[in-house]
Amino acid sequence: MANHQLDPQKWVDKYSDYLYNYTIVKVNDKEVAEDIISETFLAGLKSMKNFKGEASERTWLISILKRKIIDYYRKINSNKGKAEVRMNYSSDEETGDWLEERVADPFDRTAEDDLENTELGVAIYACLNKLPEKQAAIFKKKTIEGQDTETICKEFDITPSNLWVIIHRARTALASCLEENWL
Amino acid sequence: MKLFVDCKKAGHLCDKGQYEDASFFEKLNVRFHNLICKHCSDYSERNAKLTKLLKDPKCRQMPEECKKRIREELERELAKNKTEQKP
Repeated sequence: MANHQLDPQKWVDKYSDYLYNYTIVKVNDKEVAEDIISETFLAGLKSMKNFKGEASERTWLISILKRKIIDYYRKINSNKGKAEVRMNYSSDEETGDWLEERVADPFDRTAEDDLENTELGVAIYACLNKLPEKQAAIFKKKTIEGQDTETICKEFDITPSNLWVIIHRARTALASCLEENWL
Repeated sequence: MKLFVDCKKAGHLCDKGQYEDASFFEKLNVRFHNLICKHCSDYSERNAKLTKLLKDPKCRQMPEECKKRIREELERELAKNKTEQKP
């Protein structure tokens, strides 16, 4: 199995938008989402030594994030006192610990599984993560942040025609990835 | 200036067009080329679709100041870890 590495210095640049889209659909509040993601990165930093390199960095971060989202709902739930949200099996025949079975084993799911039936924002950033790092960074600056060509060329020390080749490749790859996984 | 351009040029101008970086005449070049080229006309359609998706409000971005805050938090923690390793 591929041995994945963790590189926390790049986490924010590489994954924050992806995690943000993922979280905001689930908690429906921008500030809560920001806090949860910040906690997720810090928790990731603390448990770096437990990372076995079997899952990709992003899958691993998502598994931490999922627990943080559950923690958040537990917390607001206990604050409300008796207003309890019950998550349970759909039929009486099935028994066991619902939460453990349904949520706790994120490692056997690949990032690709997560892409199915997913939100547009999550799909776009998941596809962006598949591009080569530099290509993704340049594409994001040009397309999503709307920076002008000249600024980006200076920052990466490339010519405008380099930039357009990179943009073209990124667009083609992104379109195929979204066609496969989202549309 | 030519009215008709080849596929390579048309593809490039179509990319530029997605960013409002193409002039009126360049956009016209793409339109004329697409009339005679099925391949490029498909490419243009796909490219425009992608642009629309990327502008969709459902494609959210974490605010820059929040990214900055988290980056700083991580830096602090990493620095702390380093000093703890060599007492």
